[in-house]
Amino acid sequence: MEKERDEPEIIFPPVLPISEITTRYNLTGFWRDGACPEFVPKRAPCKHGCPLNQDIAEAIELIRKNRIKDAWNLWTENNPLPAVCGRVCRHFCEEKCSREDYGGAIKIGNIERFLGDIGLEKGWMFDFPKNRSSERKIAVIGAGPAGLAAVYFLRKAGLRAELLEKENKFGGFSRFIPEYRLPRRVLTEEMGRILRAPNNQIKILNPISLDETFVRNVLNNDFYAAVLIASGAGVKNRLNIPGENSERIINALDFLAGDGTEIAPKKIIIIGGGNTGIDAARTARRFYPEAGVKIICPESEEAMPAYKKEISAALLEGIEIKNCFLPLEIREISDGLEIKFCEPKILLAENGEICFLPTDSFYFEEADLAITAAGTKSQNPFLRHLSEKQKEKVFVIGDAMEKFGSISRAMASAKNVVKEAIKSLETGKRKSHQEELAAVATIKDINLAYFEKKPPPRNSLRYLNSYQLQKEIAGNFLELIETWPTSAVREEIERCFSCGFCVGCDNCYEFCPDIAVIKIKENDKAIYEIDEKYCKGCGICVKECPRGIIEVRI
Amino acid sequence: MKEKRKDEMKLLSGNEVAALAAYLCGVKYVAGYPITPATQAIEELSRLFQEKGRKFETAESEYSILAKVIGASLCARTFTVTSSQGLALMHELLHAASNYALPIVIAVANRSIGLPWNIWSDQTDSLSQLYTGWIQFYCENVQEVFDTIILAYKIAEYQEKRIIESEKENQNVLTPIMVCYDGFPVGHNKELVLMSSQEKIKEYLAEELDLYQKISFERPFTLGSSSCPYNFAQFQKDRMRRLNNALEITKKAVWEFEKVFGRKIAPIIDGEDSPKNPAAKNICLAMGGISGALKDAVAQINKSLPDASLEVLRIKLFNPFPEEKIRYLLGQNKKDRIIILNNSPYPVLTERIKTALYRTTNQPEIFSRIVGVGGSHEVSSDFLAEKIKNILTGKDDGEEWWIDPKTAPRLPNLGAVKHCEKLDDKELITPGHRACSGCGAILPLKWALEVLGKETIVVIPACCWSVIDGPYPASNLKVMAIHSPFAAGVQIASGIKAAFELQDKKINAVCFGGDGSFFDIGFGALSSAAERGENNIYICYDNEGYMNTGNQRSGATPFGARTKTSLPFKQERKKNIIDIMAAHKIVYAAFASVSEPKDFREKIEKAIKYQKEGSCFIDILCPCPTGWGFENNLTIEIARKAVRSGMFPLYEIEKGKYKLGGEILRAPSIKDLEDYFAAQKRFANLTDEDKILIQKEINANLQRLQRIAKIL
Repeated sequence: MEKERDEPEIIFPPVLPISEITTRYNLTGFWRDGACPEFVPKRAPCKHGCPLNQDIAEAIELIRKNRIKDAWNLWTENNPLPAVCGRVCRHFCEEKCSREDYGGAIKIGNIERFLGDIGLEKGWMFDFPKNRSSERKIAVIGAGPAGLAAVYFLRKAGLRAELLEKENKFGGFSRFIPEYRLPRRVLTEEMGRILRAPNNQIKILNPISLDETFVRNVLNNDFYAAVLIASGAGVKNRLNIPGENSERIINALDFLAGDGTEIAPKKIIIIGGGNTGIDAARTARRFYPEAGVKIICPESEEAMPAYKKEISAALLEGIEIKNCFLPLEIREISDGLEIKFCEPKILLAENGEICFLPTDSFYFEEADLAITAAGTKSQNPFLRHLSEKQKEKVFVIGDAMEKFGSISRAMASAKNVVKEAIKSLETGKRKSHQEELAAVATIKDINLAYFEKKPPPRNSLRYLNSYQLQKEIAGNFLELIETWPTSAVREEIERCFSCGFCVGCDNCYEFCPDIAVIKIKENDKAIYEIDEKYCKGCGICVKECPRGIIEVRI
Repeated sequence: MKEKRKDEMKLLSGNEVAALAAYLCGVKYVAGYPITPATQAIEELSRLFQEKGRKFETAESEYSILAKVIGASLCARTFTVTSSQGLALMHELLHAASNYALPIVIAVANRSIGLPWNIWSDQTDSLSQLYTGWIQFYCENVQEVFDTIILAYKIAEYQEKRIIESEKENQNVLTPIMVCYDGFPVGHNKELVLMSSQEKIKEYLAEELDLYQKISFERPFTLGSSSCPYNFAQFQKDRMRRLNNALEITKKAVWEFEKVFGRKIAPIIDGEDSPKNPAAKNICLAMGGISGALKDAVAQINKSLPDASLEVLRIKLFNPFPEEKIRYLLGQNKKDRIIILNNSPYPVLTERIKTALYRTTNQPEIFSRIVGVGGSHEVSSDFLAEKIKNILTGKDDGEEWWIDPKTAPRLPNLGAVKHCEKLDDKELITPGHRACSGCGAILPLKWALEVLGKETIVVIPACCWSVIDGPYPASNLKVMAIHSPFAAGVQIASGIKAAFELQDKKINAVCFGGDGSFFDIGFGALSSAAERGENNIYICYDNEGYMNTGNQRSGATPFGARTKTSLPFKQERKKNIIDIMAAHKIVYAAFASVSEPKDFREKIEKAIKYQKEGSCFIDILCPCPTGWGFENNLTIEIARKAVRSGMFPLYEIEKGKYKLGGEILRAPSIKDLEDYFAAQKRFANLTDEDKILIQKEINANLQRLQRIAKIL
């Protein structure tokens, strides 16, 4: 505000009509009918969709400014495994993207993979703070994605962590993901980075046996301040149908782990439409290029639990998918199997689960190898029924808590439980962690006049066409799609609306006819304020903000 | 009495009544150019004269308006309304009208003459046209405006029917008349007016006059070929005689008016025939609207000072001046004091009265006072009463009164800071200006000044910015700026630039005005400056009409847009100003839009570069929420739609080379166009066929541009 004066200096009597003072005395804000517009940043829908609450729009803005290291730092604040997640996450973020109906969703997965790969290539490292020395250790059991994430978030918060793993490998369930989806090198390097980070102070202890006695011991002695259990879901579900024990039937996880069979099959049937089923099918495709591979699952095409991109890749590779058939019985015939299916009746149970009930309309398939992929469950069911007392010190995360089926959800549970654990250690009381969240930006907030309706850049495929692909994938576990080059990433981030996030485009400042938007430069980022003393309330800034950040609150 | 009841009472303002009176008088042809405070009358004329058998026209300036009226008045009854600067611009033609003995009637909504701009009333404008040979009436209220316009046609068209034997018997008037009233408040305040029917007025007025009855192709003649001094003097002598005849004819006309309409009308001098105080020793004299306050003041004094002996006379017919009548009225009894109120900086009324009283035996003391300059409505009767009392009681200090000091505006103290104290601010426009909410016209100057820098002089011809910037002693511009008359901006900029260059100083002189200043009234100046290649930048903020006066058509209004002077919508096409400028071989000309600030800045940068070689002209589209009829927040969006629909294609011409903006290359669809039309009320009257026609023209224009861009 201008300084105040006792009396305006006016030349009197007016000899010439010279106007020398500013019009600032005229507070045109009084002309305004309603409230003054204000800046109300919103949550981008991608961030809203992401279980990890990833700051995607902010990171994209950093890449736009060519601050890729900063973007990587920001990204790894919420997710220590961008290269892994960029490849295998379902990318709930993309499903929520406002661009969906306007040229197609932003390929956030490809951007994440680009960030992750560049981080690996340049050897960027995490920066953990020093331990808050007086505090006791927190144990994390299980070195899968959830456990590693838990250790990571604990160390980020400056707490002492101890990682306990019964095997001499880390990665947990993610080790079953085939190479063409997640190269082992990426998995090892990225997960190992958490343990290699300087000042990581993570101890890996010998295997322990995880049972109720263990929990009781933890509670009884003060060695650990808390225990985070990320033991995963290691028990393979069975089909529970007659004939399941045949030698020609193998569980998908065993198949993926390389426990192959002696049989050289001609016709392979995979039972189960989840990601594991598809992984098994595509792996079979690579091992036995001559064999016909068929997936049969009770779910309809839309309801298949596998990721859409996985399904389409499977189809591209020449795998047949048959939907809506429930296996009833398996019989061994001479050099093969005969499997009896039926068209199931679909029932929605009271707890929301979908049940498939057998019917009388049968269908038979022959095969010489069947792979079952009926999912897994936690091996420690007692964890779900901890007493209130136990819950103050024992926290369950990842698939051990609930079958998430998604790496980002498993890691998100780790992130949230770490926050919860920290809070509960501070206050002594367990309280589920809830942040106050800003409203989510929608497509209605976006001024589409500022954005071209443009599709994303095309993936660079390793194979020219489906024919070549089917020919060349035999024994070949290379990734189908290459990591995007910087140019493609640049092209794609220009398409991003940056929903609800101010990128300093200057529109409000530029278009304000009342000179009522004040621009303050702060560390090369522009910050705007609306001067309600002068704002006449025309609403041009509200209308012209490409991202809908300015609002008139009634 | 029965007939009197037929006449109805209506609540009307002076402006409305002026238009209505002309309509009822059977005027066939009117032309009008909007100017505050007469605009409302022009709009009324436009509405009323839609009728078959009548015509309303607009033009690019008041000068052309009077020219049109002169032409039409050779064989039709004509009328127009103007004010202030507009009347001043007509000056040359005022002479022509009276010399050609054309019985034109125009209404003048009195307003001060600038600059600085002031829209309030005083009589400077009409008084400065005293020697153009026009009869001048000054009205006090709305009823009088109505009656006087009827009366004026009677007088102006007065022609001897009998054969005249000697020059002295010649009673012809055939002289144009100005009927003046205060733009504020008379022009705008509504009063109950007693109307007269069209038949009655027809009965009162002469048959429509075929002035030069001789106009016929069987007997051709030339009007106004050059004459020798002897003949010229004869014409002038006749003109003066005709003018002076008006005194006698007015008397007759008033008599007849009262006979036909059965109601009183103020005679030549209001109060001459019905004095309230016949034996008064002290007389107050005034003209026009200020007489109202004067009458109130005198009534107040007569009540409080029983021996004041005051009487008010109001001069209604000022030119020709009723000298004899004045001598008679002021010579009756022995007058002590005469108090004359002049509603202009010059004591014109006093001069006339003094001349009238020359060599009379009774010489009363004359108190001539100038009052109400630049706003007669601001003078209160209390103020006048106090001052007149001072004169009567001998306490007068001899000073002029000018204006009631109580009306001095008070500025809030907040932020009364001089621009020079805050020179390092980046923004060269300060907030607190008076533009409407959502105004698009602020932005181009805001952006242009960012590029042009502080060493810039902005010349602002009459436009919205005349109101936006100010009021005195404040300005929202942090650079040097000069407000200029409507047609003068371009050439004032040239003068400034030349004078600075003589001192080896490098500055940018920018003329920044609305489309009126460049497409219409100032087009001649722009054209000649471009032809001579004067080294300046001209920026036109194009809101496609006269938006400052409330949305009237201009040369920039596109086909299909409804304005208050183009009903139901404009039938003619928008001037393509950039192509016109290109035809001048101008060094740089460009269309821009407020929706594209980056593009506009680049164009300003180019203009700065090219101005060394000649003139640079940029026409930037600035939608107007109030005039175009859209919500205040849509200003930018509407501009963007105009560009994307092809209605306002952005292209530029650099040294004769056409460069098309990216949007032009995309063929716009009818949907874009319909989107653009639907967003504004001004296109509401368009039919689907009109829209298809416009679409075709847009496509043709874009194809033409693409071809030209290839060739040139």
